[in-house]
Amino acid sequence: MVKKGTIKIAGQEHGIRVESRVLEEEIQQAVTKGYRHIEVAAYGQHGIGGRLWRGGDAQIKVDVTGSSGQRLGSMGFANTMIEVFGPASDDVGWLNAGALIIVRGNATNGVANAMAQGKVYIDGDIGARGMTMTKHNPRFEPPELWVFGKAGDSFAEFMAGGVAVVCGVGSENEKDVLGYRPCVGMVGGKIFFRGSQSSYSVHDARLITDLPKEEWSWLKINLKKFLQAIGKEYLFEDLVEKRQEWKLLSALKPHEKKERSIRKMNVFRLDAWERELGSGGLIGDLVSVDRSPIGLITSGELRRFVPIWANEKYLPPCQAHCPTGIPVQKRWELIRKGKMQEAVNLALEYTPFPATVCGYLCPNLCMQNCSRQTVNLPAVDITILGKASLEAKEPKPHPATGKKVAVIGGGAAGLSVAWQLWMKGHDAVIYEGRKQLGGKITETIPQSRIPDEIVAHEIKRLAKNVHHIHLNASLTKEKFGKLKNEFDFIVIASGAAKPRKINVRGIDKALAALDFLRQSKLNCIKVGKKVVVIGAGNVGCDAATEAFRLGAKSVTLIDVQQPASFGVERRHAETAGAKFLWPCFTKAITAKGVELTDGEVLPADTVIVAVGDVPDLSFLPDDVATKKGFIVVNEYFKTNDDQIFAIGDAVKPGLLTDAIGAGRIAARAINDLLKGSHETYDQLLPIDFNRIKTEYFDARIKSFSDLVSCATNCASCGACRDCGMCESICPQNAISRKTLEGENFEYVVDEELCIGCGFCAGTCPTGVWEIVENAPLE
Amino acid sequence: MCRLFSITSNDPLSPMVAIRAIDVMKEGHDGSGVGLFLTDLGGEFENFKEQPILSGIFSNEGLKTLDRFMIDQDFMVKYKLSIKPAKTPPAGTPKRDNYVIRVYEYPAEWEGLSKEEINLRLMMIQLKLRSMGEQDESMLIFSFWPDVIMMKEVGDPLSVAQYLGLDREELKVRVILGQGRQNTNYAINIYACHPFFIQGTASATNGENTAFVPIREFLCSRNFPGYTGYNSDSEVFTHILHYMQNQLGMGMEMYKHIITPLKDTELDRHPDGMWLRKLKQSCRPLIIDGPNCVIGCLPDKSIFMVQDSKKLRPGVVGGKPGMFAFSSEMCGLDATIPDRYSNFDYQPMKYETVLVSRERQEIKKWNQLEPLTHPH
Amino acid sequence: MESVGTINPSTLSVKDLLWQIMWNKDKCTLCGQCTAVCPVRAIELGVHRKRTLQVPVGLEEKPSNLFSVYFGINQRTDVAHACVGCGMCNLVCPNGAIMPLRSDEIDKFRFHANQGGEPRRRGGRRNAPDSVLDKIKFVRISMLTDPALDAGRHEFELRTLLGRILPPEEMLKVSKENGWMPPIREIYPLIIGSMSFGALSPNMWEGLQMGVAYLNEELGMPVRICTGEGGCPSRLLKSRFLKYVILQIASGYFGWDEIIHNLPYMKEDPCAIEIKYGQGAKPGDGGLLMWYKVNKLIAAIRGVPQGVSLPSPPTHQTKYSIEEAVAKMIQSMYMAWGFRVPVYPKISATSTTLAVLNNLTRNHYAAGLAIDGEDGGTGAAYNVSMNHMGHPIASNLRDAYLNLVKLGKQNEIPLFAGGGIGKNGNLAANAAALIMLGASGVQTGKYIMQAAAGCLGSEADRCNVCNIGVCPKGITSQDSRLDRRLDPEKVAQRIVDVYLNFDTELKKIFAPLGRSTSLPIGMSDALGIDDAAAAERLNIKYVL
Repeated sequence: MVKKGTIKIAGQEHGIRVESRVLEEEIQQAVTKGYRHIEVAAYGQHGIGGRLWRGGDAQIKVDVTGSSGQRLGSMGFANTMIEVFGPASDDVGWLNAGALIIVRGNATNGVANAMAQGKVYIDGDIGARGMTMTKHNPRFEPPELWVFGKAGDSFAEFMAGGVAVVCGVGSENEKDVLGYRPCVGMVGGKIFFRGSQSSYSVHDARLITDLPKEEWSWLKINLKKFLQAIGKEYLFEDLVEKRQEWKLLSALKPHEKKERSIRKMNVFRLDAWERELGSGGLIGDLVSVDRSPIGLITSGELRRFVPIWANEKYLPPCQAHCPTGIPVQKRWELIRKGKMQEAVNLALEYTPFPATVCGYLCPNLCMQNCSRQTVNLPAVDITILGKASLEAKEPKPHPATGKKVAVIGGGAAGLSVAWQLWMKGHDAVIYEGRKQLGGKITETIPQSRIPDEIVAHEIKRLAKNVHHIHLNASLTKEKFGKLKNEFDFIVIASGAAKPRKINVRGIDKALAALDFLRQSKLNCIKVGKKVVVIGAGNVGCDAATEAFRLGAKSVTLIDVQQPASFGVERRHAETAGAKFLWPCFTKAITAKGVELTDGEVLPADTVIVAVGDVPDLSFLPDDVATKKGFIVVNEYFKTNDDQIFAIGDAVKPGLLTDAIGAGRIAARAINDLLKGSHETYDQLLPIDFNRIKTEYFDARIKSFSDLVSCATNCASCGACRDCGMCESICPQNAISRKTLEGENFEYVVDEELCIGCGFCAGTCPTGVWEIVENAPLE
Repeated sequence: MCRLFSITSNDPLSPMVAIRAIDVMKEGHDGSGVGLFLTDLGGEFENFKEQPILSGIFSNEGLKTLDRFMIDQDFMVKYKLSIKPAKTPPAGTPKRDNYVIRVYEYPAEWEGLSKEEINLRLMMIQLKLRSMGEQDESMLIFSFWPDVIMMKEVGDPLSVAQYLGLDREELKVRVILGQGRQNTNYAINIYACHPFFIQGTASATNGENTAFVPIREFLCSRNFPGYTGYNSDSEVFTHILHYMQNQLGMGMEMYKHIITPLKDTELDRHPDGMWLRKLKQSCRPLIIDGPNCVIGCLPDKSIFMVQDSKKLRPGVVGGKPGMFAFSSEMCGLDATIPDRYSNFDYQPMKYETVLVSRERQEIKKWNQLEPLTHPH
Repeated sequence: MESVGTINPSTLSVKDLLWQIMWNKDKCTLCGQCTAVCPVRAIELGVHRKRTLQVPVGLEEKPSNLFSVYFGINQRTDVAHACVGCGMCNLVCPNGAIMPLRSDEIDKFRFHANQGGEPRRRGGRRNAPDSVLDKIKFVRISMLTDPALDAGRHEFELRTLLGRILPPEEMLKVSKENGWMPPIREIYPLIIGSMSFGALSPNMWEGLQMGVAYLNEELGMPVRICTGEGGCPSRLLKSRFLKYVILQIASGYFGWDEIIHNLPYMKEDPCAIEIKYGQGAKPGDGGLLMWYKVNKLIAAIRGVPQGVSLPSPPTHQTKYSIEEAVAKMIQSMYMAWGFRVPVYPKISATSTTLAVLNNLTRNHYAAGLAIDGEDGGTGAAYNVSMNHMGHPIASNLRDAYLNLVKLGKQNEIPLFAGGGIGKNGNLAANAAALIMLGASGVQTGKYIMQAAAGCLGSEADRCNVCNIGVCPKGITSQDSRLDRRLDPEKVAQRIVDVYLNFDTELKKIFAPLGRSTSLPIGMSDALGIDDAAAAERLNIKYVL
């Protein structure tokens, strides 16, 4: 390859613009041919002077006359020097990799964009986005852009390396020699400029107004070269005369690019928020309580829930369901504590018939409602305790008050009220129409259900204490009026002994059930082989059982509806072989038997009517209200006459325990009236059985053999059994047992430890612990 | 990106001056179309300064329809320039029947009408003709206005210009707006060619107008019949300018305050900030949010250039007393007026508007941050 | 007595519940934290009997039973204590031994949550996770003439206007004549929607306000927050922070006498006044703040005695029609601040929105219209209202905007959309979609609760106990045992995080569309949806 002189290449042929591709080929050919000085008369062609690597190390000079198009000297090589004798279009020196490019005029947008090596000298101003995305490859010297005038907007955007120098000549009075918003996203390199600049991206660059010595000397040396290249060396002294005119913007290093130094929220809160609003912020003037942040798990007054040791604050279900109100659970508790005698004795405070009724005759509502029943565990057996109560020691009565109460009737109700009044120190006088006390118990309840000696024992115990008993005492209105004058109160407990009549033909042929039972108990009645009992209630069942005992071969109980009988009575009748028929409507009672409305005849030798009984109230003053034959009373069994109470079947047919309970309540009411006191009794709510944890008990126990095993298996509903489970389960160790006077104790909670988790309530076998919402704070 | 060029000259120039400038910048545009707006006419049209000139492309049928219509309207042809192109159009350019430039005599009954009424009627006739020819493309109307000629065609600007023989004495003019089109639509709609024109105001733009739809909706809802068309998203630039001048009565210095208003923080510091803020709020739907270089010509024959506020499309203005040119690229300007003092070339930036008035003595430039010169 | 085997119609098993507690015996340490934290006491310690049958190999001896007792966490199944799925148990459990899981089928609980004949009420969310807004894509990416913007490099002005904006001609005229110009606020387009002091806990409310103040004063973001109908603490009214606050007046007028008393002491005007006519959660229905939530503090702020229930009727009672109501109310509220404060109504989205809007166009004071779609609202509402009442926001807003376009008033009455924005976490995308459908800005409450305070609610009917004052995060509780769990400072910090994040995301949406210098209100050409019917209805592109 021979070194040759200058070659001229034209951008127009015959007035037609030469395509950039063609011009490029011509230039490359010229270099290949060995031309080292190329003159291009440009006509808007792109990329002139770049990529001249074919010249190897040889220096190639490209002079551009005419009008250069875009991307002058793009991808320029280090061997190339390009000089434009006039202004240039966009992207001068794009991706320049080493060329020296001199523009003797203005250049427009994008000068030196993405330039990595080489230098671009502009003898004029440049447009927007000069020196953007420039690089500095450590293998090479950094690229340089020199601008004689000023730069346009968005200068040095994303600049990543190299040096830019903006001399600002002619723009000495301008506010921004680097245009609007330079250095956005700048990460490397530096910019020397002369003149003023009102803003730049402070996030990316640092402004140095006092040039360090080495920078200044670098600038001076290279400024001279630049000025030489554009032929303006004569200005050198003027430009460096005032060092303070020059400033430097250099990219912040990553670690220097701090997040905007903004106030921390806590500082803002203190210095701005509360300074403006006052201490305590928005509502500091409205609340005085502590409002500082708290955690999710809190104790003390910040707990949401609080455990309460609600010992004996609710009635156990057994007691709640006992019409007599016997504290059944309490009795088991005494046994658990080894106080057997006390447990036995306790019953007499509630009933004169603990053995007769609890042990034998009562359907034992306490057991029916025992919490254990709810999960199919056998109820603890009260009948054992009942029977044991035969030997109970009667309580000591209160001192005598001298107040007198007449009790009309010596059945269960009358004896109960008299017993209770006696205990309270009043003088109860019993008027019984028959020759013995006990009412139904002694008169009509079959022996099969209760041994006579038990009843006799308990009646004797009562009679021993309640002295004034008048047997065979018939009563009339006049006599009743006298009693009213003699006694402070009268309690009518005369029962319901008058059989209810049904209005059918041949009713005279039938026996009333109570009459039948009374006579059968005395063994002074006979029955036929076939017996029909009209009315299949419990009394009917008793009658059926007795009929069998007396020799009947078949007993049929009929009823207009499904029989209401239940319990022992029903069981005894069924066991004896009684048949139940319903619905059957009796038309007539004939010699053959019972004729039904549908024509069927039930053969019967004996017909017993057991459709209920009504009181015989012929003695009752007319002004005492009754309804359907029964005396009307309030919740305390007082009639509309303040002096007269009525209890038992005279008020409403019921169980023995209902009658006994009524006696208790009436006695308390009378006692209150006599003593002018207003005691509250048994006002506690029954405990929710869900609180009782029956899981602690053996599920496979079928029945209980003795009092101790009963007592042990009693769930002690609502009454602490001092098991210590709560102490153990508490995750915070907040519960402890505190010994009080005597045998008393309580479990207490350390508020500062308790988090209100409710574990104590969750584990308590007896349901004593309850969790309630903490009291509102404000 | 489309290449824009405009020139204003004391001495009438051939439209080819602009065409050649666009040609220098070739390889920036793809030669998919060209549009010219000519005003301050010289040549033969110098004699008809006041009479409306109809510019458009007509099929033979369309021409007959035009004649019938204009006769019905009592318009008489006073002068016409017949362009008879060569038989074979350049590649990409369709064969047309007639390129029409006709000067009409106003109907006698228009005499004594107010300027506004005349302006409205001229616009309505242009719209009517356009709609009449829309269906079968028998009539393509670019302008109907005194002292204005517009030409648009699909194809390479230089080839089209040579094909149409624009280098002719009758067509010499003092103000030219031209655009070499970088087409962005697959199907080239000639109505989408810049420049756009409405009632004496014309502009051409490069770039994309991303806020086009809301702006169009706003203009369409102004109840002004001329705000229609919009085959190009850039047409709204012309209409905003028209709206600003004609409906709001504001001058060119407000244009950028409407299409690229100052930021709130900048308004806080501006001496007329309070008022400008109100203007910005009321004209909020007119904010263009694209990268655009806009060149245009006002009814007073001033030509101007403004830039967008974020991407700063290239644009340069330079010249010498008596002749100034605005160009997308330096080489377009440089090749057209090589003998200017190029150090005085000016590149408008973010906040700037540059304008050369009909006197053609200097480049006027102002910055949005400067106080307003007209009291409001 | 009922035995355990006894059932009634509302006896439910764990399986019948929506939320089922999974508890792991091996991991549990019986620390009690889960039961202590459970907001509805859905769990408790249970005693369990364990039976082991001991069978000797070879059957040489008789088999025997060994009973033992262990303890575990039980889930209660009664309606009042049904687990709400909040998961606080899991949050506090040191061993991860407990967690609520959602039922794998429709729960039976829902048929029984009406005990006493009282329909279910809840706070929180409509149980419909779908969202048209989520389906909208931004399809007009600048790839051609206009290259996409760089969200980090360009300057963005994401601001909107609140106030009656005069059309340019009128603005010039009024300006020339020095006439009255309606006040206009330049604000950030994401407004924290109305949540009252009372509905929110004091700490939550303070946290929100503090965060908003911080955004304004430290970060220069003009974020605004609406008070909701519950008054405004006097200290805030007298502070410079009032300018960041939109005061709401609603049919209960709570706290307004306190606001009036503070008028002479205000050093700043509030940003605006919102007149509430409806809300998305319970359109057309009123509200009731139950007496037990009206504690000393609430009572003081609302100007009522402590411990009384506070009803907000569905309507403003002395107004006879919405037209009159709007006119009278707007005028009165303008008078309070000397016509310097914008006043606008907020309505539930409804098919009659256009009538309200048309009316507003003729009221030259109306400063905007806020429309709350069916997914809106955080307060207590009947289940049936929340799930079935109301109009979706997207089409309602779109109709309203296009109606304004038809009238040429699209810039005069800014529309603010609310209701379900960000319901699935896509706050910025939903907001951007609504803006491009024509909203000038959006209001959101739920997203804020979730993001700033960790609200546990979800469209799967999780938690939702805002209405009964037991919010386990302390967001909606008036019990300081709960609301002190929430540190206002941290809420404020989260508000800042949320807004900065939103701002970036919004830019990441707008920048590729080529928008930065103005909010792309009504830029519907950028939107597409893969649902032809929705596309047609919203007048946007159908894309597949």
